[in-house]
Amino acid sequence: MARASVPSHAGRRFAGRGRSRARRALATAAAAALLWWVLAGSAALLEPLALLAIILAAVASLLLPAGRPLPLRPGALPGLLGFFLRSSFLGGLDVARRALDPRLPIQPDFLTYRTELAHGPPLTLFMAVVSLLPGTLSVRLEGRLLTLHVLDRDADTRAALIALEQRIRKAFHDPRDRRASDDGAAP
Amino acid sequence: MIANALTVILILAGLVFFAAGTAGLLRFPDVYSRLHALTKADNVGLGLVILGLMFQAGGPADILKLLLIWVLVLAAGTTAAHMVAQRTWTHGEFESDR
Repeated sequence: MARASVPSHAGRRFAGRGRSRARRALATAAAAALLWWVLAGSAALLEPLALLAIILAAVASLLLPAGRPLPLRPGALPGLLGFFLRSSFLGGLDVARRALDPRLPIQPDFLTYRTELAHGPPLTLFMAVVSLLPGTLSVRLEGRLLTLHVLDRDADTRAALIALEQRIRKAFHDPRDRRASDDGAAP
Repeated sequence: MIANALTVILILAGLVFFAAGTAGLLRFPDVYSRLHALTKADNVGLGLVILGLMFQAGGPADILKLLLIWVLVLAAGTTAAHMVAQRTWTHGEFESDR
């Protein structure tokens, strides 16, 4: 992606941008075909309506302006996914145990947490995942100050939040990092 | 045979989580605590049911479809929980809770 914007020659830059748009259209068409296959089966892929929808999706991605690229680091994704699956399962187990316990062992409280994550996808993901971690629910975000509801005020929620924030930070390129180092350092 | 047994076990386990989520919805004292029960328990319950159904899938397309359902419900559930919590924070508890 970064190579497309190297300002070496005006004509070449345009060609590079065209190539990246073509690649994006191709990826959109592939994603649309995959979705159609998943939803309707392989026989339905060859129907005229399916082909029309796939082509229209590709054309739409050519005509519409490109969104901001998602600054994901693919290498960190399996770790984040494993962490998420494990802790969301523990979250369900924890709340199920509390709900079924005759003594109803909950001590609800509110808690504030200041996050350092950049606004946009990383912070959205953080708030979404917080609601699925054991005992935490994201309530409100004011600037970088997150208000949480916790089921057990004695649990060490802060440590879990810090662990999650570090994992999410590793999974995204921080735009502030890129601005600082300009180019080259980021893989 | 083994696939069928796994399906039954996983779906039964999933139903336990759904039941626990509903128990929490009824027993927990306020809106926020109830949201905990709904989002987290139902997420695991649905995950187990979907994992059980994957053993009955006719092909990779079916497995991907089940996975897509789980991911979409997960995203909708956590977003809805946050929105209900935020609305409750700014506009106060619902009358029926008092």
